[in-house]
Order: sequence, then C-alpha cells, then structure tokens
Amino acid sequence: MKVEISELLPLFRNAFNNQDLSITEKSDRHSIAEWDSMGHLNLIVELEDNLNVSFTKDEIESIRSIKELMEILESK
Amino acid sequence: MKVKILSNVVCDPLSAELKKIIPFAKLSTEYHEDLIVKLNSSTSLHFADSEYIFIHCDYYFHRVVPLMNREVLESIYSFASKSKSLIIVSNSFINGYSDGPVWGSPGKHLNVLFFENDLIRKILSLNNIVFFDYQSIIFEIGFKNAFNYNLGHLYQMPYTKKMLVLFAERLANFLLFYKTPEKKVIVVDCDNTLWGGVIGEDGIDGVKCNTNSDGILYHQFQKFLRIKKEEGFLLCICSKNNFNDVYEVFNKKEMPLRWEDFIIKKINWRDKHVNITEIANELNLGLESLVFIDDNDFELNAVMQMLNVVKSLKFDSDYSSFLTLMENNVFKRKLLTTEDLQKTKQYEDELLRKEEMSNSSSIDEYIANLNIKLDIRKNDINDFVRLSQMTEKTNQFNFNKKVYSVNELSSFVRDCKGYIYSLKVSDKHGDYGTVGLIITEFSGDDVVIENFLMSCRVLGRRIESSFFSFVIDDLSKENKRIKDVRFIKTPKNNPAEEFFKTIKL
Repeated sequence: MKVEISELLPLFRNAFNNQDLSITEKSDRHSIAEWDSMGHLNLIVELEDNLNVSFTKDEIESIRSIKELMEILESK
Repeated sequence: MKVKILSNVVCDPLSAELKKIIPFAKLSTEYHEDLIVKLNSSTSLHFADSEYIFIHCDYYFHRVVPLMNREVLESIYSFASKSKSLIIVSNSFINGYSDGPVWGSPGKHLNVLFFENDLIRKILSLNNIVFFDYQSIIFEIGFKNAFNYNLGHLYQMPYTKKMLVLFAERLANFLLFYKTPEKKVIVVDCDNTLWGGVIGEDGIDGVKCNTNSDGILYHQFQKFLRIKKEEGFLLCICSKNNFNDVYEVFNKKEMPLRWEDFIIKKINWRDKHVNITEIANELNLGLESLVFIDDNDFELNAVMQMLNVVKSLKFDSDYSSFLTLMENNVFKRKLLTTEDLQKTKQYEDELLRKEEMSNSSSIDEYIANLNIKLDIRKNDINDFVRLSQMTEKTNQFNFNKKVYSVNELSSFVRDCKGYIYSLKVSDKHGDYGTVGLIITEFSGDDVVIENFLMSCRVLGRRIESSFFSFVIDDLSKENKRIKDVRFIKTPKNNPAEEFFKTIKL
C-alpha cells in the first residue's frame, strides 16, 4: 500500500496531539519531540485504525522514521 | 470531577479519549503490573482527593490470573471500605483464567462469580462501590475488534482505537451518571407511546397494547414504566386527547399500567409545555427532575425549545431504538432507598393533604388536624444512605448545598466531630419518611450548625422550627452553645434563607 506523507500528517498530528506538527520523509524519532514510547503507541493505534492495517510485533519495534514506516506500509 | 484510573494495563490512551468527552475532568492514571498487591498495600490516603477511582484489572487480556477471583474481590472490598472515593470496579476480572491446577484444565473452567454470591452481596452492601460493565463492551464489538495483542505485548496497552473510543464513551457516561442528580418524574404521551394507534382515528377498541407483534412494544413499555414506578419514579400523562377517551382505554383494556398508576394526568388540548410546567408545580419539583417521552417530533421540539431543562426523549416504534431508549441513564437509580420505593404513595398522601388544606378555614386548623408526629434520631447510621441522598437532591430548604457521601457522614460520626440529627415525619395520612437533617460540628463547648436541610415535601407545616428547637435543647443539655450557622445563598434556597433570618443565637 502506497501512502503519501499528506495522508500520514493528520494521523501523526492526532497521535501526538499537536495540530501544528509538520513532518517530512526525513523525520524520525529523534527529530519529533512527541515521538516517545507513549507517542509511538498512540501512533500505531491511529495508523492501524485509519489505514486498516495491522503491524506485527517486529514491525512495531522497527518503525523509527517516516521512511521506515512508508516502506513497511508499501509492503502491505 | 477528579478521576483516578488504576489498572494493570496502560490506560493513558483511554484517558486521552475520555478527556475529549469530558474535558472538565481531572484525570490521572496509574499502571501497576500487580494491581491487587498494590491495592492491599496502599492506604486510602493516597487517593483521598479523587472523587472517583476506577479499578480496571483486565484479565481478558492478562489471561493468567495470579490470584483466585475471591482474593481479588476481597482486596477490592477492603480497599473500598477504607476509601472515601466512589470506587468504580470494571467487571473485567470476572472471567479471568486462573493458573490453578483445576481451573486451568479445559472443561473445568467455570465462571467463579457464581460461587461468590455471599462476597458479591458483601461488596454491594458498601455504598461507595459500583461495578462498571466492561464485559458488555467486549460482547458488543468482540475480542477481535477490541484487542491489539501486539501492542499489549509491547506496551501493556492492549486496545484498538475502536475499543478505546467505545470504552471511553461508556465510562464517561457512567461517571456523568454519578455526577448528575437523578430524575424523579416520567411524563408520557398516550397515542403511539403508551399504546399503538391513535384513539381519535382507530377508536378505543382499535388501539393496541398486547403481546402480539403490533402491540408488544407498547406492552413492554408499560411494563417497564411499572417497574420504574416501583423504583420511585412518579408517572404522569401529558396527552392531547379527550379526557374521557383516555380514561375509557384504561377502563376497558387489560394493560400492565392502570389509570391509578399515574399521579397526575394532563389530558387536554393545550400546549404540552404548559401542562408539563403545571405538573412540576403541582408536585413541588423543579423542571430538571422531569423526563418527557413522546413519539411526535413536533411536540418534542416544542417542549425542548420552551423547557430545555426537561429531558425530552423520543418514543420510536423501531425495536432497536426502543431498547436504546429504555437503557437511557435517566431511568436509572444510583442507590435505592426505602423512600424511593414508597414515593408514589407519599405524593398521593400529599395530594390528599392539599385537598384537606383547601377545606380548612385556617392554616393553623389544618396543621393541628394533621396529627403530625416527629421522630428525631441522633447519629443513626441506618439513615445515612437517605441523608446523603438528601444532601444531593434537596435544593429549596438547604442551608449551603454541601453534598456529603455516606462515607463522609460515617467518618464524621466515627471521629466524634459532631452530631448528625435526622428527622422522620408522619401524620394521619401517612409516612413522609426521613425528611430532615441537621449536622452540628463541635469546637470545644461551642457548636457550629454545619448544615440544615428539609425535604420540600414537609415545608409549610412549621416542622422546621420544631426540629431546630429540639436540636438546640438537646445541645444545651450538654452545655453546648451554638456559635455559628453556616448559610450560603444559592439560586434556589430562598425558603432556607427565610428561616435563617429568623434564627437568633
């Protein structure tokens, strides 16, 4: 499944409860302050619900950047 | 509203969803892997400032239960009996699998709850503990939709978004239910509400209320209302019809409800909001105590527009909407007291008294003829459920509208902070039940009247001054002097203010 950054943005904003957040393909867990472990949990919940996908335990643990997320989504 | 969530799963996302529904609530969450051990070792002081504590041991997710259900229940019981908060217990632990040698075997796993009736009764006897029906959410959306086991495994947060949203919605409703005063009166329309069809079109024989498919909905609704009446709701009719036609339907048809079950019937062609306002006045209750049920959108909208504090609900002949209507929290009671169970009788007695009053030549003659008897008790723990309910429900004769929980009243007496006087009243027409409360607090030989309240049912009979004098006499026997009376003006407590002005210390 190919997902554009513009589709991901509202999901990131909801998950991190920050409507001013902006993301690029280069963003990762270091560059986004809210992307801590609770943020990651909320992000997975949002992604699974809105994109109608489910991630394996390994996938959840390996997503550390937008790029990695998009690659995993593309493999679905 | 302060709410603390204690759980053996991570509840921060649940709390975030709750916040969207009840933004005014102060929410905090605590995660404890072994919550029950934590409950046993923690003192209630830790959570003294939370009004509500939600205990959620999710043993649907944590399949292996370290303790038997009995031990879990015992721990919750002992925690609640020490706490001043309302303890809301999720019923998620009930079906947990124990790892004991017998319970774990296929075919040997039983719902342990069935064997714990004595314990459940003991828990329900505590007034500050209630069960939240978590199971019904799982039943509704199913395990597959509710749980995300990978997130549970990694983060101890096992719920899907769908589950979080529904869980938060149900929990918020539950919290709001305990926060909102109860309704007291159900006002219903007749045609297509109490029975199917319209008298004016179908005739008295043509309207349906029976166990066939065209009448069963109305039959069930009447049975539902009959139960509500037993629980203390007052039933009234507000219908645009000819009075005699409606009377004839009750007279001729076998239906669950009888004509006498309705304490006030407004059957005429006037606007419904006028009738509803009159009903509230005649019962001496505020409009916010009323629920109005009608099938007609025009009538509902008119009442909603004119009287927006009345809870207006639509009666829909679609079966699933009908079931949803009956599940509405406005029809639920927090705790049932003896007063609730006798409510209709008490209001009937009151209508008799009004009739007698209009036949008496003076108010004094009328009062003298009533043979009023007062029964005043001091620190009687049996009254505390009703007294706590009164501090919430009483508005007009209430010195400061401070609300006391049953636990607060109990610990007040236990710590010898003062005396709590309760008043029961009866007269020749019947029993009013517990209708008055005075709370006194000691400071040395001085006494402060912390609160004084009387149910509006007994006002206008000079009972309040007799009750107050009795308390002053009783305190002076112990050489205690009243130093202060705590009165705070509220939008509704004019009658209390009138009395307050007459007090001379």
